Amino acid sequence: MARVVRRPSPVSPRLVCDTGLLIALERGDTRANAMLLTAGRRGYLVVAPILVVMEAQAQSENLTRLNQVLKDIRQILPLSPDIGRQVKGLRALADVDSDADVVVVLEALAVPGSRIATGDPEDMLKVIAAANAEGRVPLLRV
Amino acid sequence: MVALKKSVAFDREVGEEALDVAGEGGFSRFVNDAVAQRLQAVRFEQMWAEHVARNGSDAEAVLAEVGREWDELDHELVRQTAPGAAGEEPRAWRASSDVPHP
Repeated sequence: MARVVRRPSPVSPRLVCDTGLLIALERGDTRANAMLLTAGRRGYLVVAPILVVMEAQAQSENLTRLNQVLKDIRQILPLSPDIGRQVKGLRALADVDSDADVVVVLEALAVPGSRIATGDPEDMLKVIAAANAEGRVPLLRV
Repeated sequence: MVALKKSVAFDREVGEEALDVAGEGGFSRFVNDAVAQRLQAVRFEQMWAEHVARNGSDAEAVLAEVGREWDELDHELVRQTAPGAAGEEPRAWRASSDVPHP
């Protein structure tokens, strides 16, 4: 299958990490590492919203390795007021439990061409549907 | 924080689009993103080499599979966003991510 040639974007599109990707990286998962490599080679900036980092820290079985993963990624996104004020409403509309899932979708929508790596595509799809953004944020299953 | 003073020349089209998207005040984000992306790419190559050394050649098959999935998503996105494709503007589309990078 031929590669699609995208028009260069002035801002790097993002691969937004969900908690599942960070945990998979902590555990040395090959597929998760392949996702990072593919993102790097294709010009995607890999980012992890701070709420996702907090969730991953709560679920971590090896904080030392998780911290190394975060150090390798480096791009931890703080919660901006613009994103923060949309979380409550969108979470209620999507009927999901996790604020982090909502933030992941909003951060991906903020930069056109971005995609999400997630271990929980069902909830992500609910949030994307609630944001009326079906088809605009591709999901990669961890 | 480290400040590096460097003059950068852009193609007119890319520069104008960057200013349009990032705005004058947010232009440093564009440069920060581009540099951060390249640094990540280098680090991820190193990480992959270490991973393959530990886990063997099966890793390359997984990498090829992930690459195929990205290609399929690219094609799907092009299909859905092609001129004439139906779709309202997303409600959350204007979410700002103009956040400072470390």
